[in-house]
Amino acid sequence: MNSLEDDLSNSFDGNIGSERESVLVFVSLAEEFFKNGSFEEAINYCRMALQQIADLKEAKLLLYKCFVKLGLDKDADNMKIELISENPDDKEVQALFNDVEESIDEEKQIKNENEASTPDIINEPKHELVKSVDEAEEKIRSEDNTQSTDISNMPKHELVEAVDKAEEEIKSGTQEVSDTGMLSADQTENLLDNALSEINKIKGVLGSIIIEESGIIIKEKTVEGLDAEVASALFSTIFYVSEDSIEKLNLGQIDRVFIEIGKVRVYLFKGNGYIIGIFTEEIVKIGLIHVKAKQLLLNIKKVLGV
Amino acid sequence: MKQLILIPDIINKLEEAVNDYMITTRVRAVIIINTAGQLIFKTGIKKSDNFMQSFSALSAGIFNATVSIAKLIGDDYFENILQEGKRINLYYSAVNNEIIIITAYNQNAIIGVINVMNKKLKKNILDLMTEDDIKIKKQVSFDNEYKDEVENLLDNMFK
Amino acid sequence: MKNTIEKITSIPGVRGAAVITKDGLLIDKVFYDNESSEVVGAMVAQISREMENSLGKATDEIPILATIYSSNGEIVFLSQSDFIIAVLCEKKTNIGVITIKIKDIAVELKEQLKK
Repeated sequence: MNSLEDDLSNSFDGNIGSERESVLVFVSLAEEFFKNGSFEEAINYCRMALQQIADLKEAKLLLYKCFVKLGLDKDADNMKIELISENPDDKEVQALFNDVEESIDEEKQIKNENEASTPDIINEPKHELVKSVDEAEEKIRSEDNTQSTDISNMPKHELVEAVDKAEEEIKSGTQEVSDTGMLSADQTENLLDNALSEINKIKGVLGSIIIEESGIIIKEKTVEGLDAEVASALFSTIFYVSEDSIEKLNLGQIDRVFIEIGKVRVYLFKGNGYIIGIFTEEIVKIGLIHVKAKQLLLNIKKVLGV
Repeated sequence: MKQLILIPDIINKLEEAVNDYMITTRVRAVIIINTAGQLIFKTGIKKSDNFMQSFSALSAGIFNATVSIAKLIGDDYFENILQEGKRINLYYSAVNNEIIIITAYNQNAIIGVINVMNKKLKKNILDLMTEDDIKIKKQVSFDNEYKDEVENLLDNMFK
Repeated sequence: MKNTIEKITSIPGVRGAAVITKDGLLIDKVFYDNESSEVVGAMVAQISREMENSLGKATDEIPILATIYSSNGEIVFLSQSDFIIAVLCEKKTNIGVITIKIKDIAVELKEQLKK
């Protein structure tokens, strides 16, 4: 771009050699925008050039390429006709049309290949989806696959439901992990481990723990020397004791509890029947902890498959 | 005047209320007596009947004695009385001027919690009590056929 | 003692404050209703006892400060070696100010109880 700016400044600093040369600067700028993918900007500069010289072939050629890129087929066709009528025997114009058409064909081919390898389940009609599942089922049977699948024993209406569910999940961006819709123990542990690790990464966080509201530990990544069993029993008791009194005081439902003992702080969050305990230092980004804990509580039911 | 009539249904409900109270407060035992010194209900204590009779009578005596003090200072009775021992403490609480709840607790329990939860237990017991004049009567009705049969039998006796 | 507690109750949104023994019995209180103070006192004493059993005894040097956030209000309490200060407040109360004040009055009350 610097060179172009130099070109521009040079063209205005010195005496303009010819009108065509000065207008070509606009085309050069348009080409730069075209290369960067800013087709609309490129079109603007081409039109500026064409205002100066109405039959400037370079500007029209670039304009045609921009229309093709933007999918403005009508404009592109009009421009093609204009160019051919103005330059009927121009080899450069013909070569450009050939190049552009070839590149369009190539793009279409690549797109088709991609679509063929990954079927578009979202847009596929339901009956076709069922059909494809049927085909897959047949394939599994013919291959004498030893791995048992729920699909083989599933009645058709359930299959349609499963396809619906899969469709929904694909649309929402969540993937079904297994045939039964439940995560395996290892996957659950990994997910919880990752979730706690992410919380523990926050500056000042010493450890975190997920427990069931009855006090049973589900996953813990706590500080050394801290008895997780004792901590989980305490957290459960705090909520149990508080809930009764909170109800008597008409304070609604407990959202969270904060405890400060010396230089250690404990943040407790409850939701969906689970409690998350986070141990931190004195100075910590509480807002971030709050967001992360709430996110985990929201997703915990899904992760644990209950 | 309300009375606590111990029929199976009421006993079950009473047991439920007392158990709930014991779990929340972590007390050792709950004994319910009347001011005459009779034992109405007990849980959490495994002593002989003789011991329980003596305990009930003495406890009622203590409560009755404090009623006199309460009257001297212009009250009907003291709602709560506390006796603190080395290991076991006793907490007396009057449901009305006839029924007393005695709670035995040690250091694990918190008196403040007992105080609050005792109010709930008292309310539950009062809800289980029925008015004196509402007697549970089983009405027996005789149908005409039965009457006729009896009359015939009596007639036959004097024939 | 009441004057000391009133320093907290003057904060907007505070429904009441109480000084209670570790057994949950009220030492002094400034509460808008009698029932609440007893319930708060009992609850706070019980939680404090549980915390001390699990995490170690609260001392004057290292007290236990806890805040219970609920949908309609908040309870803040500070457990010292001999007593507990509990504050019941509405939802949008400035908890930061209460935390600072509660620590301040804990020092004052400690002096008063020593006398």
